[in-house]
Amino acid sequence: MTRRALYRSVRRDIATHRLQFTGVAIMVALGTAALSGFYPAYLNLENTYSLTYDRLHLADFRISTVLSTEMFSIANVTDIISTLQETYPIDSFECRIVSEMTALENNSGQLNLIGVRVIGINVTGGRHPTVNDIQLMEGRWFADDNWNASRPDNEYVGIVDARLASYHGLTPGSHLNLLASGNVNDSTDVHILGDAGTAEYLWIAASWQDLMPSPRRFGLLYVPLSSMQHLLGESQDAANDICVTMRPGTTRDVRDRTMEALRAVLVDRGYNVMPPTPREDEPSYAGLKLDLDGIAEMVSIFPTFILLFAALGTYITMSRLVNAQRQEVGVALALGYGSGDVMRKYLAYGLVIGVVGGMAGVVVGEAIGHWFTDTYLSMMVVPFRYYGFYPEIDLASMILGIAAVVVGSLVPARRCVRMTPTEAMRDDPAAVTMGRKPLVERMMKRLTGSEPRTRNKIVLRNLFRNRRRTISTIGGIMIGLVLVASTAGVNDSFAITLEAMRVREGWDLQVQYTDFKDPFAIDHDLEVIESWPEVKTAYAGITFSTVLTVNQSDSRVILQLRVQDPEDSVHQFQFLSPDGAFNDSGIVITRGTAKRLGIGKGDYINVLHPRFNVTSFYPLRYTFTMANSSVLVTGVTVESTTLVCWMSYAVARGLVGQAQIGANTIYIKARSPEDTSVVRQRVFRHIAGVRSAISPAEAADDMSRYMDELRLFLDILIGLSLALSGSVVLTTAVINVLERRREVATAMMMGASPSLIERLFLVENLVVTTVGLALGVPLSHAALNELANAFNNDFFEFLVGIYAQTMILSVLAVFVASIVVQWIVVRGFRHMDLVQETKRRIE
Amino acid sequence: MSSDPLVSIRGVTKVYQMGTVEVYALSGVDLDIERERFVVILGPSGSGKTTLLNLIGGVDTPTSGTILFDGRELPTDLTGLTEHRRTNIGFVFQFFNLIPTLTALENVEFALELVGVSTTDGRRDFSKQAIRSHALRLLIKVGLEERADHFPAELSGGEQQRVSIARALAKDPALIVADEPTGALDYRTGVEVLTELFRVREEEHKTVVVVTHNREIAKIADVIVELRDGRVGEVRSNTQQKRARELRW
Repeated sequence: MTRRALYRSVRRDIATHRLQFTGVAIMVALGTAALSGFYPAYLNLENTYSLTYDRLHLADFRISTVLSTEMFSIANVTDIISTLQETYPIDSFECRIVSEMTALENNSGQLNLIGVRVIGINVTGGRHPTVNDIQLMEGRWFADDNWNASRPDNEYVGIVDARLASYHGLTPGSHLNLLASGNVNDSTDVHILGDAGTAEYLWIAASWQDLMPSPRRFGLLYVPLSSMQHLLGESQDAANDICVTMRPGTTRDVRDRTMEALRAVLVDRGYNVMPPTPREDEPSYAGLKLDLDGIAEMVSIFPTFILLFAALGTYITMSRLVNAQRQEVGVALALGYGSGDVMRKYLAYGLVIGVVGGMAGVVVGEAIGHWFTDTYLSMMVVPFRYYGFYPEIDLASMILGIAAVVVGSLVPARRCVRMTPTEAMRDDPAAVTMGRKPLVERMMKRLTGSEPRTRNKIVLRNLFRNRRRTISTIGGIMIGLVLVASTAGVNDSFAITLEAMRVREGWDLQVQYTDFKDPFAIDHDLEVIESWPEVKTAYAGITFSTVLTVNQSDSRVILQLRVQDPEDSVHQFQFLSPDGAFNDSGIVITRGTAKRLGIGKGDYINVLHPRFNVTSFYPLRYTFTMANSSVLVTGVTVESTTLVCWMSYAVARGLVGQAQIGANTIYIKARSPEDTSVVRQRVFRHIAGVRSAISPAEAADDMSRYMDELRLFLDILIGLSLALSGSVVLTTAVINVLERRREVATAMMMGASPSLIERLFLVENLVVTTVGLALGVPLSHAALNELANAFNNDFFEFLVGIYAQTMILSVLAVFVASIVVQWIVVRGFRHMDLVQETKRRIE
Repeated sequence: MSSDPLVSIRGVTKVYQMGTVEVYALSGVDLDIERERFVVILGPSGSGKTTLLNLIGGVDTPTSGTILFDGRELPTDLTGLTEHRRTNIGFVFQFFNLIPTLTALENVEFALELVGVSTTDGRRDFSKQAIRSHALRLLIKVGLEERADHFPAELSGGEQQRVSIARALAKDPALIVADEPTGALDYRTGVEVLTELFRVREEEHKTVVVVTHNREIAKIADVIVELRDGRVGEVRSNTQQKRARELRW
């Protein structure tokens, strides 16, 4: 075949079957778009984060004092680090004061407390910190760092994180009432200069206990170090936090040795220091990495899912299209064209559709990817953006898309060219039935004692006439349903997870203190709270970070330990095994943690905890050492937030070696949920040292905000799935109907009305669609599980489920789409060239 | 029986629009087809014979001119044409076009289900029993009662075409139209099919119109219509009519 003839033939074929080819091209485009859109979006996010870390000099590690009120001498630290720099590749360091405080918001008498991490940074002469810098996004930078209380115009100034600013309307020139002492009647006015983005808190995590705080209750406030020292009544040489960067190229091993050396020297100098925190153990950094890892998994699984189904749909469609052209292949072979010519034609087919679909997909993908990156980063408030062009991904996506069409074209074409021209000229033998009465029909006859009408026999026998056709149609319907239901199901799983967060907590308000409170103070607070008429009861609890490890394994999990009394029923567990229990015998871990550590109920786990030596109860004075204790796992529970574990007070007391331990959390059960806001106001006004007070609904709302970012991805995915599902159903339906043009034309020439033909097809389509949907429902559940797993990460696990109404709606959507599409195609019979069609030879 | 022609064609022109070009398939055709005649329309490819058959059969509508069937003008709307094909016309196709999923008997039954079986009191019986027994009678007539339960793929070409004829007769139409009915058959089975069609004219008192390019087949016709370039070249009564088995091609 000459190149011109080949080109003409392909062009005409495509023009003749433009509906089917458009359907296939759309499938390829969607598959390609999914891959070429999301993977670059992921790379953009990763590169954006790296760029931000780089530009703002994110610390390689940090060391702080055990209590925020304990201070280093900056001069001392400078001296120590200068000495260490002779041995270790320390590049730069900054001394800061980090303190947890609260800010008071007064909205027409309704108080709200915002937990604020106030960070004093050295901005002398308007300088920027050399480590853990911040990027001003709005407003102006600090003019100087010389606090002078005697100056009449002196005031506290600060820059807040952009998320906090946006949520609370903290524009430049506005003020924030800081409760340095934790007392609502003693506030300090801070003049807001502007807002900023940070590398250290790119993902604003309060702590490992609180990885996803809403800006409603947590934010960052940067103030000049000197004013921070003044606010806390410290000297101008005081700092409680040291941030260090290593020289470029420093290995992790050298960094670890450096931070250990620094810690040792500080301890040696008498400082009570926390274990150093390497970058990867910072909650913010780790949280962002977990999020990015989750996106990495999603961008590999979801687009693959779409591409796989697109490829499958493409393969089925192309196979059937090429099969329908067997006669032409036969004629070409009979005329003397070689099998190579025929194969080239179908290769050209695949290439044309693949390239058109692939290119369209790349264009759509670029747009989706750019939009996704932009929207995602906007939600996160990231000071820098990186948009890359990744031609290799576009090319790979296109190649995969093209490959699906080319394979779909060449496999059936190869079958054709291996036949003799005579064989090929006959229609697909699979499409020409030898005729038989299916078992169902025979059984129906036996059961009812009579035969169905002939027109009904046609419907019934058509179903079994060409199994490949019926199966591929059922397959198309199934693919459609799986795509729609499983992606919509992920959305439901969001809702189910959030709902579980609301209903499984046995409290109406969780009050968090800025610092730990001793047992006497806690008892006092509980007494006060329980005296309020709106309160039914109140329980004390502890939340703090711990590290879980198992023997003979490198796996470790940093997570939040919640100490509660089992009798208080603060949380409703959903144990994996019926004998799981929260009691005084050990610890309860989540399924996510159990998986990561490879353990289960009945195993022992190492818990990192402080061991206190209390020297005075009132006022509380103590020293402590960190210890690892082996604790029995008494239950594994299914939870959406996986980085949590529970321990009873009795077990905790045993670990810390004290008969009495205090608390940093109080759980309040109101007499009615409506009383919660009154109780909250009372807490803010009468309980000192409170950082935040949240309800389960607000906790769920915090999670929902985090999920908004995932939902964005999901919305795009649902859109793609709907479009793909539509094109799969469309192409399947079109081919299904067009394969039987001759029979329909014959019946119509005999006088069968178009409406009778439409009814017969409708019944047949109803049966096939129903079977496809019935099989698609369990498959959708299986696919949903897989998809939901892709959303799961180290700190979040979906409670997978799909609401009945969602499944019904998905089934209905695919059902209606399938029937409507097929009906539209069948309606085309009314304009069919009956003579031409009845002359088609099939035997 | 009326002495009027069954089909009366007056000044019929059929123009196909092929892009910007108008192709005249038929130009001012005038033709009468008498009742109970075996008419063969002859002509080379492109002469318009299939177009003429389609117009008579109600598969297509003329661009201009009129076609009267049994004294009434053929409708031009889809529903009217469908009704015309259902009640008045029996089609026999070159490639038989039996529904492959139905047995020979069921293929005939399917046609009967469209119109029912006419009863002595002029009603239409749509009962399964009536349809089944009438379909069987038709198969007996074409000599295929023993092949009634066979599917098309299990029948020879000749047998399939005889089933096709039985199916065409099922609706008891006034006119049987056959487009190249022997085109897909060998000589022997072609003769069988022509014999059957002739029997239909003789015993069933049907008008049969056969379109063919095979001049030998025209020898069995009562009337031969020759088309040339979309016009009726000649209409002649066949004075030297032969029996099907006497034909040679």
